[in-house]
Amino acid sequence: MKQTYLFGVSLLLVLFTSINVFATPSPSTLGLEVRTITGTVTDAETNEPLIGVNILIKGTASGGVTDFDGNYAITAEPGEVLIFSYLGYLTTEYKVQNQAVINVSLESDAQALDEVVVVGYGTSKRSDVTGSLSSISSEELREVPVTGLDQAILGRAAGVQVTQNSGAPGGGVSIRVRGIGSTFTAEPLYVIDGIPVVNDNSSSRSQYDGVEGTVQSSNTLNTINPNDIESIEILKDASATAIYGARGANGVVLITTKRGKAGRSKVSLETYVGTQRLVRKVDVLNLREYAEYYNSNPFVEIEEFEDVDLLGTGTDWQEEIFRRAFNYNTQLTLSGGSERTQFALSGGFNRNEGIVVGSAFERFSGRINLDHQINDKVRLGNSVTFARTKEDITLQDNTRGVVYTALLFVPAAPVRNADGSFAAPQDEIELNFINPVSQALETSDINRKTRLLANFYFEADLMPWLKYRTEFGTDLLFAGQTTFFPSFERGQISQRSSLIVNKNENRFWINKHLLTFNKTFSEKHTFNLLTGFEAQEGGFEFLFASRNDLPNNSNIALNLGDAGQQNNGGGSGDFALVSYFGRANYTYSDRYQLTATLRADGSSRFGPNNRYGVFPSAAFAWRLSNESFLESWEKLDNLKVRFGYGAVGNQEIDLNSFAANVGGVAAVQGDQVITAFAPGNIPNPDVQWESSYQLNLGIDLGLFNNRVEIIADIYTRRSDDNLLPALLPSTAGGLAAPFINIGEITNDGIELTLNTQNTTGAFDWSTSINYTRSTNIVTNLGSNGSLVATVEGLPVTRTEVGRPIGQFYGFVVDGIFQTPAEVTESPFQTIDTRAGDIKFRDLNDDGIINADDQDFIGNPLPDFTANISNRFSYKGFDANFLIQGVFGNELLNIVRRRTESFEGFGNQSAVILDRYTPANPSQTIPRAAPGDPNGNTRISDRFIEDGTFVRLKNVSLGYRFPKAITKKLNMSNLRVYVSGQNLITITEYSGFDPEVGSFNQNPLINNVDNGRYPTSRAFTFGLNADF
Amino acid sequence: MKLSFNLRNGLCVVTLLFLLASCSDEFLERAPDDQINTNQFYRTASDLESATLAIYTAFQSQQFFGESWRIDETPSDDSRQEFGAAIDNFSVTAGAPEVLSYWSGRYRAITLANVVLERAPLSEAPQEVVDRVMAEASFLRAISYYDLVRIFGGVPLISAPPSLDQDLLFPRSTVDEVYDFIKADLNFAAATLPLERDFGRATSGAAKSYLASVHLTLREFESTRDLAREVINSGVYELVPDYGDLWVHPSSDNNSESVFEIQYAGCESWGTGNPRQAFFAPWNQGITKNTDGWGSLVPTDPAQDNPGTTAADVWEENDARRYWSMMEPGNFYPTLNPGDGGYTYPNDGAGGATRNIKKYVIGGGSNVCFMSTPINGSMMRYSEVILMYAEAVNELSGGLSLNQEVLDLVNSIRIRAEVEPLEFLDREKIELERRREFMFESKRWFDILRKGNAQAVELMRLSGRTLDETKLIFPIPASELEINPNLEQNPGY
Repeated sequence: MKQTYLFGVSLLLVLFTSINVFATPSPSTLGLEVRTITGTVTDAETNEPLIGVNILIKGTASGGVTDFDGNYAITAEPGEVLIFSYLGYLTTEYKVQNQAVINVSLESDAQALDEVVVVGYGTSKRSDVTGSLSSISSEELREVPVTGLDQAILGRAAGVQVTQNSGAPGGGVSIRVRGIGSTFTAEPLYVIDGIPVVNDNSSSRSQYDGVEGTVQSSNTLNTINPNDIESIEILKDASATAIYGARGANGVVLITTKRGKAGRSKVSLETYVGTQRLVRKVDVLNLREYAEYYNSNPFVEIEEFEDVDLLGTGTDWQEEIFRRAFNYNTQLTLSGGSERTQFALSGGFNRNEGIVVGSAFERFSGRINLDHQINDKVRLGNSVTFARTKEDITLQDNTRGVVYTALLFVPAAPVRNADGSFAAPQDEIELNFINPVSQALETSDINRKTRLLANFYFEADLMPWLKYRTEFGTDLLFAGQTTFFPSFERGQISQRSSLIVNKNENRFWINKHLLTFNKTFSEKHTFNLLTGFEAQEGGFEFLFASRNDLPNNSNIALNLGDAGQQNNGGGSGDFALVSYFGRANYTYSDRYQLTATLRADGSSRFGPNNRYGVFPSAAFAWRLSNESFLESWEKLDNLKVRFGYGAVGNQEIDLNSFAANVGGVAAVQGDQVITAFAPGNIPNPDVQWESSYQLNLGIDLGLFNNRVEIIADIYTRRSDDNLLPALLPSTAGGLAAPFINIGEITNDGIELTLNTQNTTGAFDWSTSINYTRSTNIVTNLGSNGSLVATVEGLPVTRTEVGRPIGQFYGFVVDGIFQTPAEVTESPFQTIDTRAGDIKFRDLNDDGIINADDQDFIGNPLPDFTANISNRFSYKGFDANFLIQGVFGNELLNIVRRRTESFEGFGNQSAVILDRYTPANPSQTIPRAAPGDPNGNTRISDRFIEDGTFVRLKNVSLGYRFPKAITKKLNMSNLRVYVSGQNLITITEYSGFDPEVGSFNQNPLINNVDNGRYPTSRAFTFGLNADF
Repeated sequence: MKLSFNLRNGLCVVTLLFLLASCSDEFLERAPDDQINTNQFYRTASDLESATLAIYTAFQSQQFFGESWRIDETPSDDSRQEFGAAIDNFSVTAGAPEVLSYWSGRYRAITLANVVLERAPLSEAPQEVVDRVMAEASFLRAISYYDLVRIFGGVPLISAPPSLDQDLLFPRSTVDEVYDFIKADLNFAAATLPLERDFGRATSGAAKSYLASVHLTLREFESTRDLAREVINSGVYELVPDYGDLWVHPSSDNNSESVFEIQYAGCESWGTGNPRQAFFAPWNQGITKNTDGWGSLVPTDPAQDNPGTTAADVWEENDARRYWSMMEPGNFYPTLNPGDGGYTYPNDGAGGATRNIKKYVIGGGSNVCFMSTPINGSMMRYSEVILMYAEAVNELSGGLSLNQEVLDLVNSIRIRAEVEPLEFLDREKIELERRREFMFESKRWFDILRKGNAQAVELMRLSGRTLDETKLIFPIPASELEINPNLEQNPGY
């Protein structure tokens, strides 16, 4: 079936290409004085030999490549012209005379503007780009060893906010390009070597999600090995993303992996070892303090607590669950090739222990990128990456999570018994939770993913100015989770074993056909036209099964469980997208540039009423620096203003929400469970795309031989027709609400990037600063008065018209009641309100504190972010650092709702030592009142904290051994480095770490700390060697 | 077809390339794989049976039977919550999650019933199946509204499934309108449903018993008497010999005394087990063999509530029902913790309570998991039909009755409980008998409400609570008011 399609496509290829291409005879040169010419190609500045320089005899297809020592040999006849070309250097031509040796030195190309950047469906010279995009080069990517590509982006691109939603290795990630434009999903589209990938983490959702309620999912894109990446481009404005039409609304991240270059085969070894630790602990009561606290209001008298002076400090549970973790990475790359065939092969292994015991991430990945030139008009090749990952997950971001319970578990309880087994709760006060260490180590939740991303291309020059390209790509992802709860009997707690196995299969293919027209007329009018057609189809299937009561805790397999208690289920779905698109670039005299883009998408996610969407955009750029009236300004290398406007869409909604469906529900008949069918949703047949209209105005400025580069963009992005679930009363019976296109969100922002080359020569110093300010405002929610987002059933944010998305909402604290008289004189709270309770502000002045006295109490979105990176090099040494700054955002620390709650017998934060008592009339911490009759722990600004932080994100120091030494070692390059991550963080936050991120990428839930896995401080020692 | 990219689509794309657009509609037409389009369902008799069974799942849920005790048992003088004093103190707010839960659980059942009532007549199923499933849906809808009207007063009467074509923001109907609606549904069900069914599905006896209960609430005693008598004379039901049999699995389930009960299975998929043990079992006694057992609802107690009014004060000596209703110091339960030779309730209580509820606490076992036991949830028993009959007869005879037929029926309940037969009946005796027989079964609060507002307030004050008449009905959930401007809040909230 699929073969039929492939067959059809290949047939088509032949049709297209045979017309012109294969008929072209290879030009032959039958000179009389053919001779061999040899020589060395060097860098004009450093005199270092250049490896892999392309040498082409002008007007022919023959040529050669320089070897490891920069040497080449080529046969040519006098009069022919040799073209020496090398990336980053000016192409140089030499006419062959009678000499046998031609040594060439190449000048480096100072015009950084002419670097080539990847844009949608092609590449472009940086100077020709009219839209707004940020580009991250491989040098920047290699500065710091990272496990995930998100960390490679962090801080490097203005307008792009990267947050690690979990500090767990391989943990969840959110990337927001130019703010949040959807209440539904705000993650960008990733295009990895031409294959579109939506980083929807739900396919790597932990099994705990079903068992414990909502937990944070890990990152589905953690299968991508960042060492394989050559460059990352982030398309930001509508003009740049419009070519991705219905999927471009949240920005597009283009990832290009490394490809081979003609030249001597190169073997690269990249390896590092590292260690990570918790940055800081949260101060909780030790045993003595806990005993005193407990004794102040004992539930039952505990004998051991009678004389607190005899007590030690007890168990420090944070000490028990956090550890020094080690990570290790090694990668071997083989690349090279001949004039006609280039290859890059790599294999890598990464193991990253988490700082919480029991958590770890492992990735094995490989890549095969091939390029082959059949003749000088026909090229084909592929990019294939495959990866296998294994994550050991511990329960986090949940009130029953390991981090959360470690703060609450009483210090009186031991971790283990004398014989090494986990200790049972000995007193009633310990019964609150399962021992967090046993929770982390005994319960195993393992997620394994296997992912294949493969793309094959075929490219033919139909005419010198007309190129046809087709690609066939596939993304196959197999994910499996195995969760095992072991059986144990420990004092009063017992648990029966259960095993849950979950298998996910995601499949996707894409086929593209592109025609590119590129021609300059009259030396002034340059046209670059692209037209394309694309079809894609994807689907998923999942299966889960569980059994209980396995015979032991070591043989963990479904077949061993009790067949009488087995359970299984599954589901599947598929989707398709058909698209037509075109883009026209017109440049007049290198001064005026015009880009127009149009894409039409048809998507299976929408019903027949609204299946197709059309997304146009246009951009105009004026290169003032090329105007004659600015010619005299010698210091000015580049001045360009850009203006763009366009519409893009977001289609990431559930499949089939336009139709009414019935789904299975579990019903009981006798003692059996059977499936009955009930309606699952209320349909909206008219549901359609979310649209995003963006206006962008930008300036590129290059000064002083491009040593100072300024890129400034100002934009306004209006997301319209936002999909929102209709707000239905419960009288509608709990059917899934229909999605309706009613919302509107506006993001306005400014982005500034300043790159400076401060010094050149022996001591080379460059600085890059970026600054992003964006404001988000919800301008329409239709009939929905407000959207409330919850974490574990607790409402944490509210979204209302006229305010930014996902604001914290709750009561306002007015201090602590100091006297009973103050309680009676103040607005009524509850009948159990006493002195020492929190006094909430009566916002509506009605004399009673109730739900109407809530207000917006904090904004999780930053006012602005700023990042500074510096790069230094001196002789063999290189150093760089990156400082990340996030300013003006707020955090909601709901862990404190328990650690400062006086609830149950759990341990408490050390701040409660200052709690209100008649003898200690505290103004900040309320009295200890079991059961919290006054609701002191209700969501209020008491738990809102300043989320501003400045962090020394990365520092690294490297040394490149001189050629003299590497040559002896038979290496072409050897660099060793040490680096540190998250070394210093300046923050007021009382929790583990101020980088909290979004909960499961939910645009409505940002910066809510519900026991997040903390980000660690890491040190790494690494070595890169090329042979 | 289901799994792989299908042939037609493949061909389609190729065609598309040339013809640009001709068959992209076909390529983009994706029927859901794992859901059935509504238009393809509700056709056959088995579709209708399945859709009807789905209504029952709403009753199993935590929002319906599982945790409804938070609303309809907690306020009574029999019980109080260990944590969460608001409902006990009649200071609950409209934003309380349990209020919304009670409301939405019942509207879930009503919605699923409305789906069957709308779709069944359009199906191709035999007429008798259509009639029966419609009667079943009407019955289930009626008893959902019956809870709602007693807890919230007049509520929105919704009789069609939701869609975007209609206004979904319904105003409240009056209490009378709701009761008329309930009666119509129950009359239809009583006339149409069969006398006996397997697996505890709705019967005409269940419909008549509930109708009797509705009339009793409305003080329409003749109707109650006649309906109850019909059920008694149907010969379908008889008391099980031992009160304890009602509370031990599996004799508890679908026995001869059962008129209507919620079906549960233990350790199956989430929501299909009875979760009440988790809330009722005393805290930290290892009874459930799971980490649950929270003692959330406990009997009222002379130490905390006004002596003479509590659950511990209503018993005659040796009443067997007391042992099965609550665990008290020294009570020995051989089936709980059998590994330790049985369970004795500690003399100083458990988890801060001095007594705990025994009903639905059945201990561990292979079919008991976290918040999931197999014991069915009792909604209507034959003993209640007898006591409704007795009450109606007694009311019709002026509050005092010597009717031997009725006395014999009531005494059959008492004899089973190992207490002396009664010589005559009066209001107090019947009320007490109901209180003992159905303790912690969400009957008592409604019995208190039936006394009339002034008396109910007085009785609750005597037991030590503070309230005024407005607190006898609960607030409409705040979130509903926020979404639906056509709703009006009850006075006092």
